[in-house]
Amino acid sequence: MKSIEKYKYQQKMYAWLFLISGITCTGVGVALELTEIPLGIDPRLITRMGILLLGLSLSAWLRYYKAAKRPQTAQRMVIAKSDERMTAIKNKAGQRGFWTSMAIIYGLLMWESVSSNGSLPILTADIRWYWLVAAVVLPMIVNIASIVQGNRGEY
Amino acid sequence: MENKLEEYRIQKGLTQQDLADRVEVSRQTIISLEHGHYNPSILLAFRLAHEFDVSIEDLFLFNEEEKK
Repeated sequence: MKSIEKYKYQQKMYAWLFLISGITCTGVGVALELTEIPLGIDPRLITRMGILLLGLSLSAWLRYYKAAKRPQTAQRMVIAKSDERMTAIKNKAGQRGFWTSMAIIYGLLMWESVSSNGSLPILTADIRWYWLVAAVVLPMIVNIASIVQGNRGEY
Repeated sequence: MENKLEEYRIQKGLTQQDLADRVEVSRQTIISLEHGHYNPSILLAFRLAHEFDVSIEDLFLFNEEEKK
């Protein structure tokens, strides 16, 4: 049950950390909104970041209380996280995601390099944005699909 | 890799979840092992063998020609 205590301790620490930073961020954000000091950025962004941190804190508290209330379920959760088969599946999925991301970014880099000397059309800001979105979304899809495939297949 | 995990587990009257809890892996890993879909690490193989009080060779049947 040692791992459970460690898990509970970690969740409690995260919960406090997110709570303190969330309150600070939200407080600073609201104060900046009220004082209307020109910052060059919208102070609502800071408030929203604070709210996000408070949400993360709440989720960490819930995990902590769930672990305290149902130690056996929590123990299984901890085991599942470090399960060797799952780790192998995640490693493989991560590797596939990494190479997908590399291929997309390399493609963009090559296009930008070649288009600068006029051999290819110059990408518009919109296309570049979509390309970068693909560099984030596609590796994530590959990663998730690999995990699903690993769980269903020969692993 | 073929193994006698299911046989030993049933002999000992354990469920897949019981065995998973004892050797600290998920139940899905036990299922995969029993179906021969997953080859365990040396550490897990030792834990399983220790759990049933047999040698690794008794529990896992090594086949040289098996697809890697």
